[in-house]
Parts: sequence; structure tokens; C-alpha cells
Amino acid sequence: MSIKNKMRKLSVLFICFLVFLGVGVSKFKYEVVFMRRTLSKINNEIVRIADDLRIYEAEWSYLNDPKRLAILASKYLPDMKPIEHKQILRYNDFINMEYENKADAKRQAFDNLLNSLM
Amino acid sequence: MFDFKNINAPGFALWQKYPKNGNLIKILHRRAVLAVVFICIVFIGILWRLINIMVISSDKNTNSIHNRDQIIKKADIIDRNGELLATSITTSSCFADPSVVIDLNETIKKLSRIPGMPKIDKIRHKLKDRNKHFVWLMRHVHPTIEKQIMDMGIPGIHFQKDYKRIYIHGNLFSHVIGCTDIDCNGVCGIEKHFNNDLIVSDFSNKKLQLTLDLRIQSIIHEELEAGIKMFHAKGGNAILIKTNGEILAIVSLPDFDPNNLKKYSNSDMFNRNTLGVFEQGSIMKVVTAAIALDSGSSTPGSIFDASTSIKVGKFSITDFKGKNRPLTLAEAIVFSSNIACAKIAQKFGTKIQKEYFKKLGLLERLHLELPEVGAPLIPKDWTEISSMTIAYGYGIALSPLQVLATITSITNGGIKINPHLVLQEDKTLHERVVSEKTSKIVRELMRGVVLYGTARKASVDGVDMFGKTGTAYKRKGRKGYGNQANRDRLTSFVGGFPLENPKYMLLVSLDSPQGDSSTHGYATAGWNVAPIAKNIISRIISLISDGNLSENKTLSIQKYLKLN
Repeated sequence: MSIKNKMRKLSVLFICFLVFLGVGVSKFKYEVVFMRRTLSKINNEIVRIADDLRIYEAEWSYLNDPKRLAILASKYLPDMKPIEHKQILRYNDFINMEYENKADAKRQAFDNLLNSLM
Repeated sequence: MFDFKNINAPGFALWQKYPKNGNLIKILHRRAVLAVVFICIVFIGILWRLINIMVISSDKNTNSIHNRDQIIKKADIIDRNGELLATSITTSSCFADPSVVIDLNETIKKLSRIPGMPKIDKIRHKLKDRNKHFVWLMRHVHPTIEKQIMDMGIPGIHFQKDYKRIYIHGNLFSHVIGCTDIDCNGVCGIEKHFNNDLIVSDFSNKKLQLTLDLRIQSIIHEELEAGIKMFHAKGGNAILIKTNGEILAIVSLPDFDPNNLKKYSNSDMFNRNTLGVFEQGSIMKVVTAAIALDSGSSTPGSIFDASTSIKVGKFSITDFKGKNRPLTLAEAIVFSSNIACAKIAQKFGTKIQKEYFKKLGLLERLHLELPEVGAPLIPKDWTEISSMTIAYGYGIALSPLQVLATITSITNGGIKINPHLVLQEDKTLHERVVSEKTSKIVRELMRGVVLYGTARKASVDGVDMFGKTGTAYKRKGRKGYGNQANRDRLTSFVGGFPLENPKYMLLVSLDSPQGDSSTHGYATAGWNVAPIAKNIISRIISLISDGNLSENKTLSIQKYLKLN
């Protein structure tokens, strides 16, 4: 094969390679652009949802404001009173306490239940 | 030399038609030069464009970028139970690019019709500089107004995402959390102290967790407000602290709503708990007793003559409702004798007093996560007379938090605490300031005050509380303390519970309370702050109690008390 033919074949192969490379790079580029857009959309959606959540959290916290709850409690639960510290006992104190009325069946039953759980 | 004739390529045959040797080289040389010149021109063009973009036009571009960079999002602030206290919500803000505004007058005319927009003159002033690319027109625009402006389609008027700081519970945490300006930069409080640390990205879920408890803060705020109203005080403050230094609640009144700062004055923004330094009065006797016992200069049974006042120059140290007899150290604290305390201080001396004050951290500014922390005012010349007055709370001005931290360090077993507002992992405290024995005796002395002394109205049924009241005349600058008739008082209560193993300490103060018929005309601490402290503890106890808070043990100092 002459040098002329060899050069021609090499040129054709080189041009084909360049075309293939060009198409490949272009496709790759558009794929990346598309993925970047998708990522950007997802990120925006995450931020939007996080913003919405923050507003809901703020609203929930506002609804749970102690002063507001106190007003609602006095309005809708007039017979309820805040718990007093005397009503809170350590578990051991409760177990060791002597009942004033030993015959109280309900208390005795509860005591038995606690003992069985121990 | 290269022989052109022997090359068989078709292109080379053409070359052979040209005049040989010298002429061909000249033509090629000329073309090469032309190609180089062309490439140089192209590169110079590209270089010029780059310089134009990066250097010459940089000011115009950074103007807008700089402004847009100021939009910051800040992390949420939550309490110890995860309740939201401050958050940033997304809003939309309107800005203009004056360089692309086509008809200035028409734009101003249209914008001036929008509710909430600046006045015509102000809009004109903002838009007149056509070299600018970014000026704010309206921040945090309501969505309906945003739509109204968008519908107008004015060239050069745009919207951008913005953040607004919201304080959910209004004025409840105002002094401690502080507030931000319109660009979310911290102006005071935690917001200022952690300004840079709080800045987060859009995707961050970072939160700053404080030691505060929303429920307790609310109760204390409510009770203090009621107390101020009842005793016609100018203001007040209260702090509840755990004995490891965690601040559970800190309230200073008057306060302000950080969501709407316009209607508040500077005095409303004054944090009495940390920035205000006051002569604290008799609550400082606790420190005096601790020094006397720990240094070994006195015992609870040591006797000090309080039968007559002490004359110092033109002043005299007297007792309010004094016993007019020799008192033991225990009685000096329980009955709050100024004369006996001055003598206790005289006994241990100025040097020891200064040493202990230094050890307790009373001579330097408190370290706290707030910018508003006041430095203590200490005497320039710490003489013997200074020591005597300091012993009962005059001559040294301290912030309420600093006093509470000091008394907590004395009563928690003698380990120094560092009060803090940000929740952190439990650190072992090891810096001892007084012995465990001293700490126990001081607690018993304070228990005596609640049982038999001036803090009887602070006693809560079922809780072994200990405490000390203090009533100090307020210094009015160089005028001193004023006349007997127009003297203002600062009344305080400091106490804790339970007696054996204290877990919580409380301080309550009122500024200039007035006596009335319910207090028989008295405006001293026992009549006003003690009942407020009782109300607070009664309400919060069920939230923080883990069981029995009373052991009803007989006090070891009982034998040194003569209760008549």
C-alpha cells in the first residue's frame, strides 16, 4: 500500500474519531447539564419543604406557648389543677410508705401488682 | 538541503511551479507572519475582554453581588426540651436595578401606589443613581403585595428570597436571646454573641440548644410581672439556676418584644440580671459567713456584740429591727445583723476577704454567652471600713447573676460553678472555693433564715428551702442614697432547695418596691420578694421535682439560735 493510501485511511479514521469524540463529548455535556438542572430542582424542592416545615414548627411552637395554653386550660378545663409536688413520690418512697388504711382493697391490690412486677 | 523534485506527493507538484528556492521561502515566511499577527490580535481581544470583565466592570458586578451576599439565614434557637424559641422564615424582598429602569417617573408613580413602599422622594433618591445595579425598595414583602408589584411588570424591579428572624414567644426571652437587625445580624443577646456561629446554609439543620426551659421561664415571668404590679416596683429580675451552672430561667423586667422593637426604649432593653450592677445588701452576708467559717476565724457559735451601733466617721452602722444584744454568728445571719456582720469581717480582715472574693470570681467580669455583662464595681482603696460595709452588702456592686453564681458555688458543696446558657455535656466541676463542711453550715444558716428570720414568707410547704433576703438602698450617683423619705430600695431573695443536696438556686429582685396596707407599709425583701419566690417555687416544683424534697432534720446550728 502506498503512502498516499495510508495517509488517506489514517485521515478518514482520524476524522471519524473526531466526529465520534465530538458527539460523545456533546452528549456527555448535555447529560451533565440535564443532571445539574435535576439536582438544582431537587435542591430547591428540599429548601422549599424545609422552609415550609420551619413555618409549621414555628406555628406549632406558637400554639404551644405556655401563656396561651394556660388561657385555654382555664377556659376548657376549669376543674383541673396543676399537679402539686406532694403528689410526686420516688418509687422507693412509694413502696416503703405505710398505708393509713391497710384494708383498702384497691391499694393493696396495686401494692401486690407492684411486688409481682419487681 | 531538502530536494523538492524527489517528492512524489501531488501537492508538491504545484509548489514546483513557483519560482524556485528564495521566492517560495519568502512567501511562506510572509504567510506565517500574517498567521502569527492574526492569532496575536485574537488573543489581545480575548485578553482585553477578560480585563474588562474582571477589573474594569468588577465594581458594578460586585455591587449587586455584595448586597445579595448580605442575605443570611440563621440557625434555630431551641430550649433544653427542644421547644423552638427563635427561627428564620423565608420571605421575599423587593429590589431595583436603577441601571435598567426605563422611565424613572413612571416607575416612581407606579411604585408609590403600593402600600408599604417608601415615600416618592425616597424612591426617587434610591433610583436616581443609574450606575447602581442594586437598591432595596421593600423588605419582607407580603405575598399579595409581591403579586401586585409583579403584575405591574416594571422593568428593573425584582424580587429575591430573604429571611426574617421570628421570636415565637415574643418578649419572654427578649433579654437573653436578644434580637437582630433587618439583615439578620445580631444586635444584642445570644443573637449577637453567636452571630457568626448561627449563620447557616439553606440545607443546614443546625440548632443552638440553650439550657433554658420555656415552661419555667414563662412561670417566672408571670409571677415576677404580678409581683412588680402588686408592689408598684419600677422593675425586677429573677434567675433560676441548677447547681451545676445551667441557667433554667432568666427574666428581667421591663422587657421588649424583639419582633417589634420600634415602641421600646433603651431602658426596656437593659438586662438587669447580667448588665446591671447593684449594691446587693444583706444577701452578701452569706458570703461573709462562708469566709468567716471557711477561714477558721469564726464558728457558728462565735459571739459578736451587736448591742450598739458602730460609728465610722460621720456614718454609723446600724441594724434594722436589731436585737440590741450580743449575737452568735448563726444569729447574725438568721436575724440579718449589719453590726455583727461588720464585726465578723473585722475579725477575718481585709486580706482574707479579698482573697476569697478573688477565689469566688467576684473581682472580675462574669464569663457568659452574652455581650451584655457588667463588670463589678469594687472599691479603689479596700480599707477596713470597706471590708465592714462589704460584709453586709454595701461598697461593692455586682450583677444579680454574679451574686447568684457565687452563693450557688458556696452552697452546692463548695465547688465553683460557671453559669452558662448553652447546653453542653456534663463537665466535672472541680475548683473548690469553700469546704463541704462550710457549705453545709451556710445552707443551715440560710435554712434558719427561712424558718425563723426574714425569709419566712418564702417557705414552701413540703420543701426544705434555704434562703436569705436583702434590702439595699439604691445609690443615686454622687448624691449618695438620698433622704430617708425618698430612698429607693433594691430588695432581693436568694435561696435554694433541697437542703441536703441542693439542686436548684433562685434569685428574685425588685427595683424600688412600695409598701402598702398588705405589707403594713414595709417595703423590705421579706414582704415583697420572699412571697414572689414562694409563688415561683410552688409552681415550678412539680416540673422539676423528682420526689421528696423535705427531710425535716433538726439543724445543727439550732443550738446557737436564741429565738426571742
